[in-house]
Amino acid sequence: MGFLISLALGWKWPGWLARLFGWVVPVLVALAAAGATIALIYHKGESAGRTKAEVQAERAHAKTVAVARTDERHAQATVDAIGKRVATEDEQTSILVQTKIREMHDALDATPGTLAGNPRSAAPFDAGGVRDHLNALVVDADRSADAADAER
Amino acid sequence: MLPTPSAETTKTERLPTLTGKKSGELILIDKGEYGEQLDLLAEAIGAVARLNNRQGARNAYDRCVKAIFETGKVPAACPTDGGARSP
Repeated sequence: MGFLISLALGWKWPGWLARLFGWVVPVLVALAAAGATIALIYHKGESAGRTKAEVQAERAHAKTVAVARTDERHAQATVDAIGKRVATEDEQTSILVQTKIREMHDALDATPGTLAGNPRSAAPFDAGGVRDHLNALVVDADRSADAADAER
Repeated sequence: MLPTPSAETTKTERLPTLTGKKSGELILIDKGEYGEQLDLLAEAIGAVARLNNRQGARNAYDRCVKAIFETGKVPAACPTDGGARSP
């Protein structure tokens, strides 16, 4: 710039300085060009690298999602099976309860009641049979508790 | 990692069995009413059994789902629907 200003003003610079200036400018231009090229290459490489990393991340993510979906399907199948199993168990318990209720009523029906309001005519009722029926239900309840504890 | 349920939430219920303790005194009771009371008692015991079944299902659910998500495999002790498994 100083050289150009002195030229415009008509100043005279020493010849060696003018030669040096004429030599420095092309070198600087060449360095700038080389720097720009390096920057461009770096930038391109960076973009390409980022794209590649993004694709890789996307693929890894898709794979993880696929694994998660498979796990979810397995879990759903297992949970469905557990639901079916508990439904069967509940039904068996309900059937047992109904059976025991019927048996207890049969025992009640089979025992003669009082005749003409006379308390002395009543027959003793077999409470032991009722006890056995109720205990069978208790055993069923405790057995299901054992099974549930074993699932922990 | 899926959370583990606390011990309080996995508890089951147990009932004592009848021992047939006798007092020697006899009373009269209406058949119909006694039958109704026995029905309710039997249903109540059955309800305890069914709730224990469901507690077992809950425990199995927790254990199996946790294992599946942590290992990616269905443990042998967990039930699966025969044909419902994904390829």
